[in-house]
Amino acid sequence: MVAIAMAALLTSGACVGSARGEGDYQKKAVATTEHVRSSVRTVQLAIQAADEDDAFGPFLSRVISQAEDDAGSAVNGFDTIQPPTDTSDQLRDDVDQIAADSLDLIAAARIAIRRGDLEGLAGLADLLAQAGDNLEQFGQDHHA
Amino acid sequence: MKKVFAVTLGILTAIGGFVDIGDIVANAAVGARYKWALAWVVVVGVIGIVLFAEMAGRVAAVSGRAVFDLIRERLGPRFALANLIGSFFVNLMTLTAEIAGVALALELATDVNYLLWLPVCAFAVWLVIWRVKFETMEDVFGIVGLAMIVVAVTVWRAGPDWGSMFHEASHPSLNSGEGLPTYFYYAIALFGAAMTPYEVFFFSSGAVEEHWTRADLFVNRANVYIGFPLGGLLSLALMSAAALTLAPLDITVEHLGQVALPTTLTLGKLGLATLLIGFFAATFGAALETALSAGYTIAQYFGWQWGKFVRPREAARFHTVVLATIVVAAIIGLSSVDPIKVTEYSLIFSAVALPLTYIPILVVANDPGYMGTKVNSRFSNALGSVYLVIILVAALAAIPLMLATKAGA
Repeated sequence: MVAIAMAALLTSGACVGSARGEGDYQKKAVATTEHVRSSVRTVQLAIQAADEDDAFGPFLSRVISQAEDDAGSAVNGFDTIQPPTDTSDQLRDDVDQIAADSLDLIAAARIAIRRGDLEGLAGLADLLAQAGDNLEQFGQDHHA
Repeated sequence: MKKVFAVTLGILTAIGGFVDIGDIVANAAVGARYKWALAWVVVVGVIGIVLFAEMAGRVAAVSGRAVFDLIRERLGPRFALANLIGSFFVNLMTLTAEIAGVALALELATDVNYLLWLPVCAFAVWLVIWRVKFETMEDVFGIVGLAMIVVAVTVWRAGPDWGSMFHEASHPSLNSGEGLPTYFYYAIALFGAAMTPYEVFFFSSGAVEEHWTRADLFVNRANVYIGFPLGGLLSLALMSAAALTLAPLDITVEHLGQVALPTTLTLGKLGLATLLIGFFAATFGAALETALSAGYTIAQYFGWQWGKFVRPREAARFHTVVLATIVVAAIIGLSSVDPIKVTEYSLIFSAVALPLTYIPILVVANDPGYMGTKVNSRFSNALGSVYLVIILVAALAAIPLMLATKAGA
């Protein structure tokens, strides 16, 4: 029983997801934007720590690049799900667009911290805050 | 000073058992998601582990033999084999997670990928077990692990509304959209983290390593009553730090780095450096415990010479098992398995294996043949029986809840 459960869980990540209908697809879209929002907010905290000289460069670099990986894999996971209807195609495009904007900002933060460009990093704070708010708004607008 | 160092076994066991990679991630994840709504589980876990660790230490001090050694003799080889298989499987998963945890702590300090650190960490764990005396090992990692207290300082410095915190902890409620199955899934993960089987195997075997006798029953109680509540306090601090900093931003904890952010923002570089040392010491200490526990349980089951109190040559099979387990754990860790996921699953499977560990301890601690007049009191037995019910419910519900909630997703 334990071995079967373990095998099922460890292999589940490799499966292509599916949605049972529009409602289910919408829930997955919202969950994806919540994941991306979590990464955006994490990077915001990292930038705050950098701005106040509260953390070491290697630590911040790692935190930001892990947030980027998380956001990227959440979006990739969502993109593997077959949209059930034509309406869902629009939702898929919206998620991709809003997530891509956030991913670009996180990547910019990662590049800035690795170059030691603290000024550039601080300049991303407001943009990330706006991206986080947009993701939150998206979640509220599409909450089933 | 000698009295201070006398409780380092309990501190190492508790830091390693209570603040290992599983607890660090689980408590922060729960704090960020549920704030203090699951704080009661930590309290239940602390009472449970204090109760059973005290029994395990008392059994070792009175009989001069470790718990697992007696389980086979008292309950027979078949039951002991089931216990061995269950606890060894959980132990291996936990060791994998702990070695990865040490590597993840180094990754945060250096920005070098944890997979490059992992073989180095595995080798270091083996080297310490091979070369360093048991007492030195427990003193160093027990004391350095206390660096995790920086998380409690973080919470204190953050200046929370203590009344509101206590109210939320004592009147747990769920956020909108959160289901009860997920809530109880995390409750079981936290309970499994608090009562991980290797803690009692390590604690009782450690007592034998230190040659405890009836005269050391006070030391046993001091270890248990100081070490484990301290571990519980640190668990609550991790939960609170995440609840104060990460929960308001709806951050989901998926990495060790996120756990460090509250301390970083509150205490700056010194706090971060102290925390990274704490992460390193706690996970390294837990890796030592789990690797040794693997050797203890197998050697005690087969009746081999075991322990670090004899020369490695005299306990060759014990040391071979320890080495082989570390190698297998390192290989699993080097595969593409996400170490944080391994950690989370190890907590759930730990919950499944709990009855196999704790029922026999209650039986042995009540056997006058081994314990003489030092059998359990009525109070211990009554409380132990209540805990066995909780343990059985948690064990039965763990896997169905894990599958139903997609591991708390």
